[in-house]
Amino acid sequence: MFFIDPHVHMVSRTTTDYENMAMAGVVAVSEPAFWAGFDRTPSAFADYYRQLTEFEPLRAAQFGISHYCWICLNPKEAEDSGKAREVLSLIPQYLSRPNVLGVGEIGLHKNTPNEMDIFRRHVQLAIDTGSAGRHRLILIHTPHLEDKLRGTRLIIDMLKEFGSAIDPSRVLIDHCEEHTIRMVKDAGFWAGMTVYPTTKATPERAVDMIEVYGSERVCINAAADWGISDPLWVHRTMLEARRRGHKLRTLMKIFHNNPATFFGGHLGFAIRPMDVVHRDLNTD
Amino acid sequence: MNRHDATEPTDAAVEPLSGGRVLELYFLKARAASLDIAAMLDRLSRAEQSLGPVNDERKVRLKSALHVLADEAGDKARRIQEIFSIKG
Ligand SMILES: [Zn+2]
Repeated sequence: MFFIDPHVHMVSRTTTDYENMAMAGVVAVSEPAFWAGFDRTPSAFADYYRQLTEFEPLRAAQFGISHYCWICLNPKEAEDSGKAREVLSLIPQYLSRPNVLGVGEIGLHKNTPNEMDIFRRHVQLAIDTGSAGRHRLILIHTPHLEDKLRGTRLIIDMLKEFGSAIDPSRVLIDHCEEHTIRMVKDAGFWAGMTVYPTTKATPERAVDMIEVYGSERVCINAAADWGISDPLWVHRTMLEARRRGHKLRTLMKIFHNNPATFFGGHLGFAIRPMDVVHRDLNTD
Repeated sequence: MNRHDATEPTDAAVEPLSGGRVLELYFLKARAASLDIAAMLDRLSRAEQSLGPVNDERKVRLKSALHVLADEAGDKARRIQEIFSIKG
């Protein structure tokens, strides 16, 4: 099995994690820009974007892993709108770096008016910096726990305000759970599911959602970061699906080909979907 | 028993946790556990919808345990253990 980890914060992981992921079949990671656990100054963001675009690709490459990332200002730091605008003005110069897939993870945290303002500015930035009539790929974080239902609705409504300027097949809305995945898929967006057992999904529930809502336009990640998390929860989810009898071809689709297809909307993403053809491996 | 044990405070000497503190420490775990149970029951009903109902005493015991969770009485963990014990 090969894996593309669609959402992992490697800056907060050890080099041993890269090694374990490589041994477990991870060929590429996608690292969204996120909150550092404390609010940063604008110059710290510039350093962080350099870490994502210069340093992490080198660390990943030691293990044969391709490192891609997303650039933005996280919704948790959108409350100070003066600072947020200053950071936003830094972003365009990083978007064109070779391992950058697009704008993300933008979104909402507490669903405040300031967060919504910064969300809309990011979406506009993805549109303005697109090419060949296509906006940049967008990766969206939906709020945690009690704020998720309302926040996911607000996000979808805001995206619809942009009309035909937004192509839902170029947007992934992440951290979907049982009460939000349907609205995301029905609106034509990609849906991400995060296996982060105390606050998000478990392997069992993620596989349930695949069985109920299908494997089209779905990616599974562990959003491993500096919290109690583990990139290999992605693999535990694969194992759960395998134990239930899902075929290798389906697993390859969910864990490798779906991310390859979505990220492939960015011309610089080099990994193509692959087929499983071994006759004896129960592939159908 | 060594001499050190004799000077240790007993468990009874520990201040009880406040209700707020219990929720702070265990709400998220219990929330996740309730979703796990809900998802398991959904999984079972999907299986029964497509392959027909199963007659299994584990289903009955689980239902009884869920009633204990929702009733007003205390001592829930011991009562649920008894539901899952061989009678007699
Ligand atoms: Zn994240």
